[in-house]
Amino acid sequence: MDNALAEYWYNPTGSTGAASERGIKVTGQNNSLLYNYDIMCGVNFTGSHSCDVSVAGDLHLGVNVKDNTATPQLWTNKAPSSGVTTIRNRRQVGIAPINAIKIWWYE
Amino acid sequence: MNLVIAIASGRKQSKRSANTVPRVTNISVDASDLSLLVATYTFADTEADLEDDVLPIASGVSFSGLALADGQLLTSSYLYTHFNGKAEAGSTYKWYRANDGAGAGAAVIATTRNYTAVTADVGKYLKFEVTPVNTAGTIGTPVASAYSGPVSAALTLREVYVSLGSATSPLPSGPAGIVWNNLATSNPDGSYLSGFLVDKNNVATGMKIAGDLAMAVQNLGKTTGNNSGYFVGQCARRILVQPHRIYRRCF
Repeated sequence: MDNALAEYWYNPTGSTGAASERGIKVTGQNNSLLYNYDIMCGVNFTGSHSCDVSVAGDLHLGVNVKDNTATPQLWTNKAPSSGVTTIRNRRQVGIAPINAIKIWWYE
Repeated sequence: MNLVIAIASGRKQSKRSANTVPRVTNISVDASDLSLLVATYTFADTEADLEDDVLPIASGVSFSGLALADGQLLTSSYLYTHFNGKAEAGSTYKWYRANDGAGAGAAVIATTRNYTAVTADVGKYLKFEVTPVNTAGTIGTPVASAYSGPVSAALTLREVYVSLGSATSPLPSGPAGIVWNNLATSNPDGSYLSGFLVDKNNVATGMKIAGDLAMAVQNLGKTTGNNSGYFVGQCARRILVQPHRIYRRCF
């Protein structure tokens, strides 16, 4: 059975889910550093799939990420707030899950 | 603007504005008293005159990088403006290194638009200066950023790879030999909180990933079968073109 965190990233349709966004938080970050994010979305199901993701409130729109053909979206120089960065996946028709996240920084 | 000029001993005296081409009209001379000639004229220099090549201006001068450290690329930024609309051409740049934020012992270390910090910069302070120049060759006033520093020693790049796919899905493609954080296995009890994330070299980072409990809903769909993403630069890409469709795929 899939774990709960993985299930955050797919909002099927209809009334499932209480909000228009799903989110996770990356905790334990250093407030004095800037972090960069590569986020990869993609599904194997048919149809149109958007992947609109925000990192620390900075929204990037990803369209048609079906079959993982889309380029990962990149966020740079994001400062955590109190050691936390929030990543949200905005609900759209056929929303696609996030498959993987790469976080990189200099320290 | 009206000016009155007293010309002593009958000598002529020219009047120049600080600007390049001011306009003077309606000149008249009151010669009723030959010991004191009084000239009256209208002087106009609104700086909206296209004949007047006002100086180009640089503003908002700054520089930034991922970090102010040895080996880091520092990218300069400024806004070029020219009242008469002449484009920028040939602006010049200077990077200064100083011993403190006030500029003690400052020296020019580069004349490029951007600059990569070097070992000699460690512990020092840097600032960027631009002298704007327009296509007519008119040179503006140099404008500099504030000093930033001290420059840190070389930094270490750390990378964390996190898979959010299901336990039965394969990991996304990535560089060979790296360690992934697979949330399907690091959070087996569904507690909405991962274990500590490690970097690609399996070194602890102190970071975790937590689900947003405020939006937690148990009955969400599954990601099963979706987890096969690729990161940029980690596979050969080929551009495929079909009618009405262009896309890239890893091979």
